Amino acid sequence: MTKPPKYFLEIAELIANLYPDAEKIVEIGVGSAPWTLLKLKELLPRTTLLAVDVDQSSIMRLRELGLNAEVDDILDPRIELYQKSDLIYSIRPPIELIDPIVRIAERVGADALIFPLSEDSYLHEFKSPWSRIGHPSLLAFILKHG
Amino acid sequence: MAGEGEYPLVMWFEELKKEDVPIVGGKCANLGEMLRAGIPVPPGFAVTAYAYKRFIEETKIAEKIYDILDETIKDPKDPKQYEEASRRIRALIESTPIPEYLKKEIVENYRKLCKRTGSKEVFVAVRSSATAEDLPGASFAGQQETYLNVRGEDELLNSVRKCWSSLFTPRAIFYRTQKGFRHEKVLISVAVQKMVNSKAAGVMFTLHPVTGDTSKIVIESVWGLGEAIVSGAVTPDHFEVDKDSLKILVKQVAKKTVEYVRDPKTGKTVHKEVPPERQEKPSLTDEEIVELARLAKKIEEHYGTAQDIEFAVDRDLPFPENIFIVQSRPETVWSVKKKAEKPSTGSETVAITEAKMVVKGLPASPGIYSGKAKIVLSPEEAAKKIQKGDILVTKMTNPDWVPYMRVAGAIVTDEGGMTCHAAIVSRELGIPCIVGAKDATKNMVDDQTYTVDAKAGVVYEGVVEELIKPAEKVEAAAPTAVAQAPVVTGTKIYVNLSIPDVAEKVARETQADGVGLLRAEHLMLSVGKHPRLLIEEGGEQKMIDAFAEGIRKVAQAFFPKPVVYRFLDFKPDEFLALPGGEKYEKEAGHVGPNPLIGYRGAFRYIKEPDIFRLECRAIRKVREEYGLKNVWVMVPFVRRVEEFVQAKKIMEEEGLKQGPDFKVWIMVEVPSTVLLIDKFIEAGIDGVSFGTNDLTMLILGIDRDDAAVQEIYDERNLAVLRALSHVIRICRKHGVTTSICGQAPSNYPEVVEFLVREGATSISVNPDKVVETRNLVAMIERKLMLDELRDLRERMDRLEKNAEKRIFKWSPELD
Repeated sequence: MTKPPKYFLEIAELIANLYPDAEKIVEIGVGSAPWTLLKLKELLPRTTLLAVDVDQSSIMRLRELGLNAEVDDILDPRIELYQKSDLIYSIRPPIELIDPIVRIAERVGADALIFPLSEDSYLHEFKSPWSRIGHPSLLAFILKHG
Repeated sequence: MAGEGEYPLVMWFEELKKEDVPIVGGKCANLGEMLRAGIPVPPGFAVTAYAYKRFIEETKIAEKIYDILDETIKDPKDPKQYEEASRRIRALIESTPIPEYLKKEIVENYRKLCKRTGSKEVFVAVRSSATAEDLPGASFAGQQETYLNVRGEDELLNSVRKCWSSLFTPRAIFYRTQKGFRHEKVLISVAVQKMVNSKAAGVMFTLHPVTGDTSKIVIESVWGLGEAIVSGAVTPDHFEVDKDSLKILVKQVAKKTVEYVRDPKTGKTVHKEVPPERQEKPSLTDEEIVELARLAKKIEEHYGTAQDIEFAVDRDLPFPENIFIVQSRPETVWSVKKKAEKPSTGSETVAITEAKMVVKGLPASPGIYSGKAKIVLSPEEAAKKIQKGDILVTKMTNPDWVPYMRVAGAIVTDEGGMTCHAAIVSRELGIPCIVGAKDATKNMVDDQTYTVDAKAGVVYEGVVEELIKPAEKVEAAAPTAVAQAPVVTGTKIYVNLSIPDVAEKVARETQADGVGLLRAEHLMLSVGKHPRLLIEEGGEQKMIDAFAEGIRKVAQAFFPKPVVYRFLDFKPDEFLALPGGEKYEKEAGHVGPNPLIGYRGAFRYIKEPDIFRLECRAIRKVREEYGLKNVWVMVPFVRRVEEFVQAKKIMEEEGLKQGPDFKVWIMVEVPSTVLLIDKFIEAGIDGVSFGTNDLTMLILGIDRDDAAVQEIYDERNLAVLRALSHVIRICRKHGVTTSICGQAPSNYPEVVEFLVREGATSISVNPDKVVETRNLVAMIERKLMLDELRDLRERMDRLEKNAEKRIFKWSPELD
């Protein structure tokens, strides 16, 4: 397997620090980048981790890596997948999907954490009250619902 | 036979007979029947309706599907409700995993098919076969979907699931409701059939489809795959054969400039230009025509009813083994018509089953219209004959025709395709239009009444009430749609997009005037590797194809409105997060202390042109192979004029030359582009788009990634506004368009007002802001016009007063 880019490992460490006792954490739009979830599996062995993607073949690959993974279209989500989550996060989601992610997090009472591309780093100007996470190298915004 | 339980999950075609319709659908049962009757059919198998039933029941989605139908379709005449139900059901089916045992069954049979055909991974066509489909009087043809050139197990499984979900297209749900089929009774089977490597392909009718003459067999064929005929993209060769003697009676060879073929590298269907020496040659030999007619006759005799048959001629096999029948279904128009039908007078009201089809062409602008035809061969003739509401029938239009097109109720042309003048203008005018109808000017008669069904591409004699009425009712039943018709603004409202999959929905829901920013970054993320690593692994074509496919989806959804593709603008730290990033970014020394002003944008393209060229090739592919000339490009983060000039040169070398339908924009996001805007205009830019995020950062000297200084980051700062104003004014002077795709207009209405007042050509915002921004712009423009009028009136009042004073002074009587 390709060597994990450091960026994804740093995200896992940040999440593990922020949510050490989480019962369930969901990553939306994992695609071909399983590294954060794989690292979280090591760091948070008691937490239920779930990978979600709209692409069936990505989900099959994630399952082969031993991850709990489900196909879902977040524009028309199967909300039961996200229930009881403490955190729903997404790494570099397309801008069009940030609102749908927030809506899911709101419905299940989870926090939403977004690691955007720098071009989308104006999340603090969104309608919802996003907070920026202070981290030396990661650009991350959180919206608390929990 | 294979599978478990009450019925098999998979059945091979040779096991099937017509009694198997309930389990494998009409299409698969027909294939089995044909094989038994000695008709050559490419080998394959059916994934049975029972497999589908088990899928929806065991995954517990059956109830959800029928619940969605019940809760969504409250008004059977409201098409929006069908669309909503379809969207929800299809997403549900396509996201539900197939149970393991079923997956295994399909895959094992696919492997058997590979073995039988001597191929490691055979290309297959995956077609839906609904169990109530294609029965006489109920043609569901084309309402479920077909996937061609499917290869490999994963792709097959995905295509099977998509076929299942296609049981719930809006059209199929509507059709079943109209025909009174119960949704839960209609199951779906899927045919998995080896693809013929088509030299030529086409359709045959065992009667004349226009006149209903049963003594003839009509064959239409094109080079390559038959999709070109079905889509109407190519005018096919036309042959007529006498059914008794099998003598060729008519042989019309059309000029076939394009063909759909399978790309040997990717396995995907591509659109190619036919070499000139082959364009006007018949796509079938005489012996192939006769053999096809013989087979058509045999199929009709076997079924005892007129047939509509699809065929393909293999390029690798010798005659007659090269001829395959791909599909046959009962012909549904003439087979239900009364034999002793009176010819239509052309002005009477007729039922759809009675309606006589006069011509068929390519539906270029959707809509249905009934009216009197006027056959006009020149604008001069049109000037004399065309009255408001007439159906304008001609060979082809050009700009001289526009005044007559405006008053027409519908347009029908003999020639042309989706991008011809008549198609583009009628779409702009919202008039139903059929192009490429071949003999419309010959077969249609002056002053006769016709119904133009520009959804199906068919012109009928007389008024076909069933077609006209639903259209009227839908309009009446959907006042909200009328109320929501886009407000017209002088300033164009574009949309920013980053994922192609939502393009169609965004285009439909927002009615945006185009895409002002199509971002490349998520296309790159979906490819999943650093482009340099891809090149090292020989994956250039993978990147070109992935980008082209994404851009195609957007360009097609918005066609013919412009789509401005912005070249890849990852910052080096963002590239770093892709596999290969460590080596090709960090070790290569590309990641500096501040990536936002580091190795990015246009400078990168000229330093690493081989990567930039891959994007150029993807654009060229979309424009040339798919004919989507509405794709333009935008060069981001340009710092110096030389960078733009060099990037433009590379584009030209890759066949992307500026012209009336290919514009090259730059993003104005570095202060140097503001200060040197006149120089960039001299260097040949067609347009600019403001990237207010970076422009604000660089004008105010605020790192937009640094939280400590965010509170003073503001796009409305006077310095930023002055920069925008300066660029707009210089660009206007030189006829260069100005747009904005940064966040400012999405967040601040006052910025929108500022841009409109300054005279920006367009404003591009996120999808959720399009409607709001359009309304705001319309209000601002009205306000501006009123201000102008008020000023004008005041000036005129002053002039009049002055004039009165002069008259008063000058009047000799008062002296």
